[in-house]
Amino acid sequence: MSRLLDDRVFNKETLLDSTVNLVPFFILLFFLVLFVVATPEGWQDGSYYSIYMITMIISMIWGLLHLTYATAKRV
Amino acid sequence: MQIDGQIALTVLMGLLLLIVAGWIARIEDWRSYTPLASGGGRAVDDTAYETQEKPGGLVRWLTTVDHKDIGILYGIFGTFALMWGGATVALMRTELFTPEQVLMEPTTYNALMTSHGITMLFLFGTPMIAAFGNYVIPLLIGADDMAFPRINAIAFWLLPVAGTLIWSPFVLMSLGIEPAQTGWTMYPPLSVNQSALGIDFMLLGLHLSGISATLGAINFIATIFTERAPDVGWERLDIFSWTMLTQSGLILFAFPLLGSVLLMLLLDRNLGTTFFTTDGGGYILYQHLFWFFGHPEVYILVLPPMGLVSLILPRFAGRKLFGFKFVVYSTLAIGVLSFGVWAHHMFTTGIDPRIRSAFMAVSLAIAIPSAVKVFNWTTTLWSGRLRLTVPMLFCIGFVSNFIIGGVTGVFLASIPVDAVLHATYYVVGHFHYIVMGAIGFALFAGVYYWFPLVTGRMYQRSLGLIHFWLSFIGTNVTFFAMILLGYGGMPRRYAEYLPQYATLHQVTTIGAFLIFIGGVVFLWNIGQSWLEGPRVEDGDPWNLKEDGLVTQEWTWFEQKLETRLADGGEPSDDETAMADGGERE
Repeated sequence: MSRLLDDRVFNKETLLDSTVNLVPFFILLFFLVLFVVATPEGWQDGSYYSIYMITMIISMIWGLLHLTYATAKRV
Repeated sequence: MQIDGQIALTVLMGLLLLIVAGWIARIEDWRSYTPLASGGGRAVDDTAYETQEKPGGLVRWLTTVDHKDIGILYGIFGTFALMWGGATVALMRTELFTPEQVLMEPTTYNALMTSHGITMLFLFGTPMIAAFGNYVIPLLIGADDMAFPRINAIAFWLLPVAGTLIWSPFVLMSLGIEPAQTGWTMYPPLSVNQSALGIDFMLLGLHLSGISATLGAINFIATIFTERAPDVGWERLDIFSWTMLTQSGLILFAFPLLGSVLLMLLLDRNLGTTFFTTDGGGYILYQHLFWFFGHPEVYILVLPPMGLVSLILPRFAGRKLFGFKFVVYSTLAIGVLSFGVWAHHMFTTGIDPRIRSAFMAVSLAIAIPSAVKVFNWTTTLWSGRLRLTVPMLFCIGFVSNFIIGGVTGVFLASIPVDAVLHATYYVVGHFHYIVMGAIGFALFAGVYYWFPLVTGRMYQRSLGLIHFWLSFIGTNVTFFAMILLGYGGMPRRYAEYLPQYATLHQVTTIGAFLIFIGGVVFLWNIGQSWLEGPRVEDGDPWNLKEDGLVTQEWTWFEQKLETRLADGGEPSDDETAMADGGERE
């Protein structure tokens, strides 16, 4: 298993280093779930604002993961 | 007939352009810009530029394309801007010593406040970072120079013009040109409706400084990507270069937007366009566009100083930076997330609560990568062999101030807290803990750390210590009192205030004067030591070899000293320097 990990981008060491970016990832995920599941009435009305709110957080999560992966490949 | 006229005009313009192009081609060697255009295998063709020595005197400084010279020029310009920014705030704080108006008109206060903010952010902070970047990054990564030396020179020379445009209204007041009184954010409708010509001057000056920063950023990116020595892979890239690379990426995305906004504002002011008028694009549009630039600007200013501290602090802790890769990952995380937090500056503008919530989420998340670095620095200090040199003291001061500045910022990320504290002195105290307490301290650390490298002389340690303690105590007295003022409800940007705030304002002013006196001591130390300080004869003035922590730029410095002596250069009869300011046993 460890040999398999060593051959890939996320070997044990890289996984440990990149955990630092998992914290903001989970914070964003928490708010995403919160805003989808338990928001005041009328927030999820499909309007521009509700779509923007969700898109904004998802795009940040995507950007964070994407850059973390790109960095892990290089350093 | 009309068409014929147009054709004639077009032909005339074409001819004019050809003449100009021909003239430029005659005076300039274009092959030196495109060494590979000949398909050649060599990186640089032989041109006259390589064989000519640097001219002497003033001409050298006016024509230089050497990254070290340009770094020094940036540093001198930044120091001048610091003096201006310091003088403006000294006047403001003197006025604020008493609740009622004593020293100046409120309009003058507003003009000084605007100039202080603009100067410190655009003409001191950004250029001072560029000074370090230019001088040391090519040395750190083993490059001969920046990737585009001429663009580097252009980027610098735009700045004095920008500074002249921004500062000149204070000199030209007698001609009826009033300075801008808009605050550094230049919000419309105020900035559109005020007639002061100084606003147009400032907008044009800022535009130039933005172009300068963008050119510099392109240069840093190209240099770090393409000019690294063969043995400097991404995994071996030093932390300061990583932060400069991320900062340059942010500049590339953020500053062109500022340029567009400034142009639209200029058009609204002078040509009657309606980009930001209430019945046009709306002033909220301006705030969105401005802060899309403005918040990344905060990270543009703070990331390289974080890099400086990450580089310098371990050298005096006798061990490598703890969790180097944590810092790299978190720096890049800040780079991404910084583009998703801008509307936290607009929580009280009445934008939709859902928009605010999204920005609150990202603003809270971005606190983590910043906090991670604090843990890295403190863990590096833990059980390290600390040497409390002046640069080290400034690094420790940075960490301490950054914690207070950062923690007070996290509260502002929360919408309900921000609703109470917005536009109070709390915000001013918070961000000054960062811009002065952290960024300023890191830049001072950089100046002291590389002073021997740049000047070949050592600063005076006793003056450095006085500077540090005055700055550290002054910063905490000033900005902590501001935080308390903010809790008390004192609004920012007022020349007069209610008597109930007098005591805390007086404490703030006393603290500000401590910082100011520290600044004067710093300037004296740097100036006198540059001219008369003991010469550094050891290529490793910080004894970094002892701990195996020598970086590339000190190796270069050592070689430079050896070459100088091999040339037959007589060692001067000045006293030679010991580590950290010539303290002798």
